[in-house]
Amino acid sequence: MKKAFILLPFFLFFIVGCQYKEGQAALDQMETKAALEQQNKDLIVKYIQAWNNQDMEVMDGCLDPDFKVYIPSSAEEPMSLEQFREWLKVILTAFPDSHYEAEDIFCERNRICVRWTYSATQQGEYMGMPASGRKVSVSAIEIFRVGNGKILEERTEMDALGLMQQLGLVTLGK
Amino acid sequence: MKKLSVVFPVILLLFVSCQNKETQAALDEVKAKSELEEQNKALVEKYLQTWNSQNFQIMDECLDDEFKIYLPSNTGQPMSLEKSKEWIDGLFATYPDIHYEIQDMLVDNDKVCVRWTCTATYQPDPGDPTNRKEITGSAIEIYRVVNGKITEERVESDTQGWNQQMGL
Repeated sequence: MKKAFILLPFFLFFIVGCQYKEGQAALDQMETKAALEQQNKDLIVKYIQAWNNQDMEVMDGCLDPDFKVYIPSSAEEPMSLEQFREWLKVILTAFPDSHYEAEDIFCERNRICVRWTYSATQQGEYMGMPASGRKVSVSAIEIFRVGNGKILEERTEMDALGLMQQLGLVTLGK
Repeated sequence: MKKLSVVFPVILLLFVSCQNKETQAALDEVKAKSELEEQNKALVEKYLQTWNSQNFQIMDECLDDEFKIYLPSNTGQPMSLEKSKEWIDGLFATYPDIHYEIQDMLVDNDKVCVRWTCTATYQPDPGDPTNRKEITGSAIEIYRVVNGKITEERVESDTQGWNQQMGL
């Protein structure tokens, strides 16, 4: 009887300790997921900041060599990293004051959703149209895919029609 | 000595079970969040299915009375529930066979992001059934879900590509 009295707490200790370990392992897993999601979000914030600073070096550091841009989001022929760099030059020449403001950003595992507003002034040639001095404000929602700390994919839907209207390249009602 | 050998495991047991409770509480919180996220995702999926079945009754069940559609995503003049219904009515009338397919979906708490593509037949002249065009579209949306109802839908879609295919 005395023996049982001594053994019982040990036995209980063993069971509780086991449960604790399982719970802790599940919690650790969740914490790792949350930490990874935070890192992925931070990477996208850094990338958007690099756009605003026009810092190509930081931007390059965020992108995977196999990086692809899909505009619109289901484009059959995405831009490669090389094509993206060329396109970036065109945009920044036409709109040197390009600014992106993230309105919303959230993440699930390796995918990050960003809603942003873009504002700029057309100070150079764009789509055959000479500098107009027009101010534009355009909204977009994107999904980024991240792997091993680099951006692999950027899928964009933006208010392109609104942009064309603001630049006077399209008239409503036609 | 014997006393100590009894008291010691009891103290240890108390200590471990305390920690266990804290861990359990943290774990329960994480589990509740992930359950809520699954529910929110399922609701948005159910809602998007009604765009294919054109079932307004189920659509209504998914939407909050204060539901608003933002088109484009940052518009200062979102559509109310009433206006949204009129707009969707018009869309179904113009494209009776419109079909949506979810390509990607991600969730964080109350926000659900969906990327979809759609196809529809466009008939420029209703009197001429031979004049038909297959049109494809794409979009990325952000939904907000509160208490099991969709309160907000923010849309960016390839309107330009759609209009081009229609010959506008």
